[in-house]
Amino acid sequence: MTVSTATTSSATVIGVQHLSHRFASGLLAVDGASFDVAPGEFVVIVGPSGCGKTTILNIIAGLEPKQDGSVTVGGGAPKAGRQDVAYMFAQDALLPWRTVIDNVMFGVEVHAGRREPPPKVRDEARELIAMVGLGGFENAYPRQLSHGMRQRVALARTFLMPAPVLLMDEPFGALDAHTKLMLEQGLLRLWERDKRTVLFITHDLAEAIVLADKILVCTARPGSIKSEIRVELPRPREINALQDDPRYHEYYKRVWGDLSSEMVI
Amino acid sequence: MSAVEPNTTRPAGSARRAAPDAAGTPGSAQRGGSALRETLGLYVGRLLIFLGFGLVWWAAVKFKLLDKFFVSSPDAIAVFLFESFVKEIIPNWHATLLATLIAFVLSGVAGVLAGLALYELPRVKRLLDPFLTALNSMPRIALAPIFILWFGIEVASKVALAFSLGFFIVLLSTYAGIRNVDPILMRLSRSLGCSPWQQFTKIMLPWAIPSVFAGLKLALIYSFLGVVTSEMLASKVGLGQLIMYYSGLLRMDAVMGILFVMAVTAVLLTMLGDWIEAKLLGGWADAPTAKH
Repeated sequence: MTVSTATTSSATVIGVQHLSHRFASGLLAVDGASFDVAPGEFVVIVGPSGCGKTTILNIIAGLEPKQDGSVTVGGGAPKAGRQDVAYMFAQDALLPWRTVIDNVMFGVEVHAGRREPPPKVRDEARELIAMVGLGGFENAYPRQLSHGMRQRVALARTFLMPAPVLLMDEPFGALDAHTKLMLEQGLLRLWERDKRTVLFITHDLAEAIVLADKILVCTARPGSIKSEIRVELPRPREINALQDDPRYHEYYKRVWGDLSSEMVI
Repeated sequence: MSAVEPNTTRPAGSARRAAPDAAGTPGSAQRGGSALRETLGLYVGRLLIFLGFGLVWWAAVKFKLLDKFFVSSPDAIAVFLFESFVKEIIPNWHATLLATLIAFVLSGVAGVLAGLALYELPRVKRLLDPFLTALNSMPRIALAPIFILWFGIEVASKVALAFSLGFFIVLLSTYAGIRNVDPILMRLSRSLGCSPWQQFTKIMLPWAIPSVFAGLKLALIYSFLGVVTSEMLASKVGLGQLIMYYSGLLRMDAVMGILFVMAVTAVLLTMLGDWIEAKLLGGWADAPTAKH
């Protein structure tokens, strides 16, 4: 799989300046958010629910029109359907009539258009399916899989696309704690392979710390970036081992401190 | 004959996605033995219900609880079916079935195409909506004499009446199926940059297929009903015509026997539809009807 990182000469892949967004209802969802994502960086936006973090991601993905401020992705304007940007949803968004392997191939197949995807893509798909722990399930249908397994298929589909930029909107948000840990570890393994640029949304700060190079803490609505915290934990990371690492707990306290002042209980 | 029932839409997209939490192993065919026994039990149970009903009926007539003139009796029906099977039942059954299949194919093709066209042309759909509703709510039995006048008492008038039922069923189920595509799949399509053609062929059309199938299976039964109704009013051959002839003679054994043939035909048509559906859809969708 060839992944071309650093699509521009500058050191940012995603640049967001003074982004504001108002819903049709008049509600101000995002208020002057600014941040940068460097090539190969794993950035996690964490924030209380309803802080507009998904809206920010949708604008970057081009799924939502930009109203105010500036956003660049790979040096260009955001646009839905760009082949250098892959998006992973909170829902698995699998096609129920396709088997696991055909679902994993779906993104590449759409991008190939009328051409057949090269035969080696199928081998890569098999390899990814094995990496997310679904070896042997290649020909199962989504309805035969549990929730966590389906989300792993979606993860493999996202990583099979050679897009250098990955946008992930709470992909593990609906999973139970144990499944979530397994998928986070799986995501780290996949990311270590080719170090793509990732912008990841979550409301779970433990998840943010184990995954991120940089955490952006979002304020309560209307959302903006309250603080940037660089996570200097060594890579590759083992999530289980991190639980015993005092630095992990220090980060947790720091992020929690920033986040809790934004929450009204 | 009732008006077209609107229950052709699939039980919401969510039903299909609700998978059991336990993970099914791929290629799970390890429970063959007990499944076979269960199926066998099912068929034996059905046979017992059938025979039990026949026995009660026979006894009620035998011991004069029911008047044979009004209800006939199972043995008399069996004798009638046996004696007239080759000479009467087969040719009339053949005529009815042929008309049913012609009407089914026509309403299937036209209904799917019209359903897709109405989805693609929302303004045309808005324009035609009241007319479609008016046509669809027309009591079909009132149309039968008109069709007979226009198309004669051969196969064409039967097909026309059956088509007027089946067409709307297939149209509505196709339209409903294609309209309720899961919104997350449409977002996926946008984020991947699917072309309109890719979106249609790779997402919307496959999504609509279970709903189209539900409509087609219903249309098959309604085509049969439409054909029989038309035959009862005026026809040269067919089960409907045969039943009218014998009820004029007050031959209850024959009337009941023909009704029995019709019931068996309807069950067989339904089973055939389910079987074809299961073959074509494979493992990805739950069959919306009970297994036979």
